[in-house]
Amino acid sequence: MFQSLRWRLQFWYALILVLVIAGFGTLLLVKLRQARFDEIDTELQAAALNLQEQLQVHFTPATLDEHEAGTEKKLAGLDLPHSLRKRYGDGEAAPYLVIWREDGSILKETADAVPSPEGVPAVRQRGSYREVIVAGPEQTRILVGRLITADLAELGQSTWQVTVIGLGVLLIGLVGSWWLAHSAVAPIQAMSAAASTMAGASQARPINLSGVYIELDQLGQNFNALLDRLEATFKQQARFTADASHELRTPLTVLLTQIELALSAPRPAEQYRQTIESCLRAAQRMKALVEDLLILARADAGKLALRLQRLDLKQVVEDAAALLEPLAGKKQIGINVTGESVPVQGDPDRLAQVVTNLLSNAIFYNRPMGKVQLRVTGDRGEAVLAVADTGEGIPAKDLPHLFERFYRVDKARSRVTGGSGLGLAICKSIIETHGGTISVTSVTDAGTTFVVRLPRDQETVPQLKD
Amino acid sequence: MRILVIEDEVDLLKAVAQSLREQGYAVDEALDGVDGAFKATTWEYDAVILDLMLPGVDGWEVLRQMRTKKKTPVLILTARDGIPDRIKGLDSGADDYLIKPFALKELFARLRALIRRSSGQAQAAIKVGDVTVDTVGRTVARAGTLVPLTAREYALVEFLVLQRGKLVTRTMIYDHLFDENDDTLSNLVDVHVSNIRKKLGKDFIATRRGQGYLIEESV
Repeated sequence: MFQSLRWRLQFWYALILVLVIAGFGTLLLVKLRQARFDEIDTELQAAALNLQEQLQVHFTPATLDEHEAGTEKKLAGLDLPHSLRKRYGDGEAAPYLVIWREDGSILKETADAVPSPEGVPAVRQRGSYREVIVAGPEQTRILVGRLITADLAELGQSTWQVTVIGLGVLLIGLVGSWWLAHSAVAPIQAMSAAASTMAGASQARPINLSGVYIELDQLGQNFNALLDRLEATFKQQARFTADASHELRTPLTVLLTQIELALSAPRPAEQYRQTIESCLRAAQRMKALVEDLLILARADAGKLALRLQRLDLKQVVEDAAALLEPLAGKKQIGINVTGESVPVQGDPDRLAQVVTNLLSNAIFYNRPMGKVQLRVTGDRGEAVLAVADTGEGIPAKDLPHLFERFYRVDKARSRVTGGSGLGLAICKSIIETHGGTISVTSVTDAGTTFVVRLPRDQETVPQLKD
Repeated sequence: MRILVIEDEVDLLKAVAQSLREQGYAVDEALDGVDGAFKATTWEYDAVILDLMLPGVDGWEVLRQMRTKKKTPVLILTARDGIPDRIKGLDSGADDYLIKPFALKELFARLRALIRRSSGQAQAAIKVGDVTVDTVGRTVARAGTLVPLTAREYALVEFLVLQRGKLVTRTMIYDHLFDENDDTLSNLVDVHVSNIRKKLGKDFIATRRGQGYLIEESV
């Protein structure tokens, strides 16, 4: 239960509320009680002091000390203030007085009281009797007290009332807190429910969060933005799957049709050979496509395994250029490699794949007798490779889509080379897995330039001689 | 019957063209949209097999250009099987739609249906007098007996029978019997007609001197 936000909110809120109300209530009651007793005591004390005055006025030390005839009469005349008597009547709750000498002998008492040796002035409570003791003249003690059951009853009533009100307030507070916690948590629960329905589905629908708190508003917006991106990803994935299966269908059709034809009637050996050759070509295309798709799938899952080692980027470029020299020669395209040696951490086969892909594109999409310029430079923490061709350029509207899977600017050209439209997408995946970036710029009728940036290998290792 | 196949996959184009020729059709080939559109709008074909994903001018454009000039039946061949694509294809003027990969036999059957329909023919078997032409089996029978014909002869009979009642010039026959790469002499047509008369009866094909041939509606 304590894992639940709602219950936690409620628990702490209820706890605080209980403590506050209980604390406040208790304080109130204590103060009430104290005030009441203060009132009682003050009254009793005033009466006691009054008696003290009376004693001082009417009695001398001598008369107080001895039992004279006159003393009894005077003592009889000694009494509590009339107002006090009137107030509390003559019943059980009537106030009483006790006066005793230092030695404990009682001078006067109007009720059965127990003198006490306590110091003066003092206030004491005997059961339901409240008594105030003051010092009288000649070491006498004057005690005034009364039964306070009525007052106690009233205090009890107040306690009861405060408790009930306190509980009422607590109840309202708890209900309020329940509602508050509920409405605070409800949008979160809505989002959670929406997310769980989407976990299984292949469509992402945004949830409506209008009119809720500002803090959750932001969360809601971010959530819906995330859903939009998810939806876009789903669509992209569906399109990719459709494109991939389409690409595979074409060589499959060649295979099936060629074989169906060859088997439909007896054929001369030469025709069988040609059929087998065209089947081989189709199978090779499918193999290449499947391998490309595998690379992309692995890169997507973050599992593109790279065998990283320290490489000289310029060397990789030079090797690729040497490999494609014959192809360039056929189209009379000149390849020029310039720049400096820059060390990078890279997978030699994968980087070679990228450079070869870019270079062969540059050769293929070039004008006759054109040029391809490959330049490697070190720029702060990066190694930069620029592959520039003198081809007819790529239209601006196609540039942002160039690295998309199966994207073809002109469907014609790439078909002829047997390209699947995945070459640049793979380059991008490989470069990004290396922690780098790839970009392209193009000027119509002038040429296109691809720029690859890779993190530079920072270790300074003494150059070994080859 | 003369068919035009427009497909940019060379191996596939060759296979389809050869299989159609073995069926007795004359076949023209086109590897891209430009060539395909040109041929489709210039010559008379009995059917056009069109791939949608073409370099240069794409299949949709070829279809559009064709439809401004010709009523030739078109069968679309493509790997795109999405319903919107099918609808678009049929609504743009194609007559049939076949998804790759396909079975050659199905292609042949659909082609036969297209050709039959475009000449207003409801059934596969056509009767003219005592001659029955089975367009599915590609055989001809006379009074119940099968008559052996060469592929060219059958093609000629089928063509004339589908055009029955209408005058067919020698040039038309030539155009529908031989493909672009054939440099046979045109008077070979007369030879074929003569051979057919020998096998199916002199009155089977009527001559209109100086104009051409025809097969009468019902003898």
